[in-house]
Amino acid sequence: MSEFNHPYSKKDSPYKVPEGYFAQKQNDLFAIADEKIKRTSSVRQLSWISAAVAAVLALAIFLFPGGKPTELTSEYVENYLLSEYNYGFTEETLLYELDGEDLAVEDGWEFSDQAVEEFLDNNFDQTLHYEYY
Amino acid sequence: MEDEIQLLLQNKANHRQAFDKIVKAYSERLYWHIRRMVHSHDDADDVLQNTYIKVWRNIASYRGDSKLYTWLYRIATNEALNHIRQQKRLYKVGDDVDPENQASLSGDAYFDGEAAEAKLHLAIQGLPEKQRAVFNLKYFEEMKYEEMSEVLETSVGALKASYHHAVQKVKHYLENNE
Repeated sequence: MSEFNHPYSKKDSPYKVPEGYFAQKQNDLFAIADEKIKRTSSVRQLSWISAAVAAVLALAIFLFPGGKPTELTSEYVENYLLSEYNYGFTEETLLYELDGEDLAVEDGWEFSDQAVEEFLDNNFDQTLHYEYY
Repeated sequence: MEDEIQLLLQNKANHRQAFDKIVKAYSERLYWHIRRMVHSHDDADDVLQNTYIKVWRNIASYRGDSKLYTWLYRIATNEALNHIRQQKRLYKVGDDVDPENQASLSGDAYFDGEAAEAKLHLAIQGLPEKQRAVFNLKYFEEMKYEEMSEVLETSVGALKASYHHAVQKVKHYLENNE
């Protein structure tokens, strides 16, 4: 085996460090560990929240497969009328029924009579509903 | 201290406390080991920090199969070797005795080039990185070959041969630079 004995002490080093370096470094390393813990717990918390939100959404989709559109489309109004007034209203009788009243659709969706009338005038073919009913 | 830390590591709830004790007990030793590998203070500072980040990330997977300090030295040595390789790729420096390394060491504000011990460290800086690690662990850390084998994941026979070559090169440098 090779022996090596340098005349100078192994403890004497030509390398230097800035004053107070080790104390400062230890504090920095503790801070890094704390930061990692904080971040990990935030990520875990976020994962739980994400999982909970996903579960609620999945349940909502399961219970209410149709969902609610974000705007008043022809399809939505037709479906609504089919489900709520499926006893054979024509567009004309529907307009008559709605006359003078505000229509509360669902969950605070409110439309004035005028808005509904305009919408129906502009978007519905008279013959379309006769085919359905 | 090592036994106390090993005990803390057995329970996940105590890992943070164990980490504090590891930092307090080993950061200075690991720093000097890294510093002798990478030589500049700034690089050693970065490598030490990366070492402890790895320690923290892997603290849960430490099973106590090896001694804690050999586990720490393995992480520190690998981080230092990776750093040196990255620097080499960056600056396209060769693997053999590297006079540029030695020149940059002399210009380091935190290296006392006038100190009597400086010549030895200049000689060590000229060693290829793996030999440098072997020499440092054996000579400065006075580690047993079996422990070095765990740190460097190399056979004892290969380590003995590597240390022999390193010693020859260092002696040669010292004889020619008196």
